[in-house]
Amino acid sequence: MRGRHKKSIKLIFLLILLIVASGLAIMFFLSGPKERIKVIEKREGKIQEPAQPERLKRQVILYFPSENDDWLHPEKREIAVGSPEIEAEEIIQELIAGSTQGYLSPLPPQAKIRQVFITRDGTAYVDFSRELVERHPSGSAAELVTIYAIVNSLMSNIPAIKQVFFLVEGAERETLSGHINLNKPFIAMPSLIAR
Amino acid sequence: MAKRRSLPSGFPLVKIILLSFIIISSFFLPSFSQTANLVQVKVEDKVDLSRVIIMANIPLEVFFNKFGSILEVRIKSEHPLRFRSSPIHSRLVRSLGWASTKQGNLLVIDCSLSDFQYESSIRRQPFQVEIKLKPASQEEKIILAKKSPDLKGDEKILSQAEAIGSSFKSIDPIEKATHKDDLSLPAAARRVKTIVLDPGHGGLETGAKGPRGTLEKDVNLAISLKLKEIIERRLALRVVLTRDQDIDISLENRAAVANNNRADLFISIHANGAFRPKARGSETYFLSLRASDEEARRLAYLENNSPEFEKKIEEESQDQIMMILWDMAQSAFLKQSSQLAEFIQTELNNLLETANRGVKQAPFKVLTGVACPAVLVEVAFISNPEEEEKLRDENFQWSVAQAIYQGIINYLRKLS
Ligand SMILES: [Zn+2]
Repeated sequence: MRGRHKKSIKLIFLLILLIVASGLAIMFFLSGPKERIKVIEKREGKIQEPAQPERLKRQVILYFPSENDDWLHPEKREIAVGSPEIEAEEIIQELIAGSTQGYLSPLPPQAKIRQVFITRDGTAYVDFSRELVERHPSGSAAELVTIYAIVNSLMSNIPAIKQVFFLVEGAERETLSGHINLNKPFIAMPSLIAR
Repeated sequence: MAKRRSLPSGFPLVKIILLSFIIISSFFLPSFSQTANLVQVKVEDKVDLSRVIIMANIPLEVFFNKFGSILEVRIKSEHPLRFRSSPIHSRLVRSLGWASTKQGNLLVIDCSLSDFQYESSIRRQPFQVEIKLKPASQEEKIILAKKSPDLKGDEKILSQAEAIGSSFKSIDPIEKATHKDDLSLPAAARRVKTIVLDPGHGGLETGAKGPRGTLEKDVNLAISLKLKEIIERRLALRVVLTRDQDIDISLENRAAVANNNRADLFISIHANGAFRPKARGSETYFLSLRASDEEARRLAYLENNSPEFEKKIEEESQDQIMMILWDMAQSAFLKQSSQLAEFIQTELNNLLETANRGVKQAPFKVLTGVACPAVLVEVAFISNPEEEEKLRDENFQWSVAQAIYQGIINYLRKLS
């Protein structure tokens, strides 16, 4: 009899232990994910979760050349909010995609943006694929339009960018297509914008 | 072995055939060239104008260039030309000169008036060019009327046969026209001894392309060669081209050609290309070192007080050049470069009759290393179908070369 008793006490003890352990486990799993999200948010600021259905967007102004004059014309766009680098890439992708209001494309449509890197002093290194130069129509006016459509679009929307330096396939280039010097950075030229 | 031995015995026969062919053909050649490629020129005076008539029995291409009292008629032909003229008895035409060069033939009509107008018309079958010469101003017309006209010369129009037979007093136009503009230049301009012309692009690097496929590099070279010819004939200056054929030359080497030749002026010649097909007109650029300068200048231009900004471009002293890095050589000459650009742009505006696109500043790679006043001329838009046609036209190319030349002269005249 005593032996049986002892056994049942052991069993009850084990059962209690199991219940407590599973309870703790449930509590852990329920609270755990929340904790982790908090940690991520602390580390990376306002980054959006990819699974979240509504991406935060903001309005930017892009500059396109026109058929009828020599000015750069503003056109509004929505881009996803992100780091200055990510926003810069998106702005350039929108420029490559072209105007929705019938303006001309300032870049060859085959060109791709490889990367944008912004240094602490505010120099944005914008690295294009080779098509930027290989498919460019050449000519001083066309080269200046390409450069300032990009520089004006970047600098008027991203305050972190103080100057823009062009790279092609990760390397410095002498000129865009035989004329304009790319060995030096550019700053925005608001005087080129249509009033 | 046997075949080898038979060769020498075959040689005399080949020689005989060749020799006889040469002898036979030589009978035909002289007479052929004499009749086929003769150009005759006669001068007639009418009451209020003089007429120069160029006749030939093959069609020719002619281009006109006017320099003060001289009208140059460039005559292009695939075959060499011989020249004959009747004696000249004209109030307006003082003399005729003829020269044949590799580039073609040149008829120089030297007029007794410092300024005159001309009009030309071409008739084919038989080929004939008629050039009407008139005094440009009313005053000169009166002076001309007061002169007793030599009516004998006026009425005496020689027949073709007579013209061929008449003795032509050959005048070397190169000798006659050479360096005429030197006399009008101030002493300071005589320090300018070498001009380097830079025909943009070349070889695999074609530059911009016209809708009809005209390549910028070809137009640039054609205009540069013409400009070289004009400068060399009109001024006692050395002209060096960074390229005189269709070859690749790096932008750094172009600057090096200028600096190694101790260039006093550097002019890079280009045709423009834009995204929009309607873009037209000429632009003359000088270098911008800092993007902020470029913007300041552009704003000043837009606000219509560009002369104010002009003053702000400071001239750095000559001894500072030694301190400047090779790739910054141009920074010491920005003021002079902007003035040269201004003079050239004025002439091009007159030529193309377009709204002034203005002197502009941009970071052109080719200008950065040039250690003398340097500009880049965008003659017209090769991307514009109308201007592409113009750029292909040799007559237009001559006019452009002449306009740039006039810009250079005006710049040199202002030197002190
Ligand atoms: Zn060019």
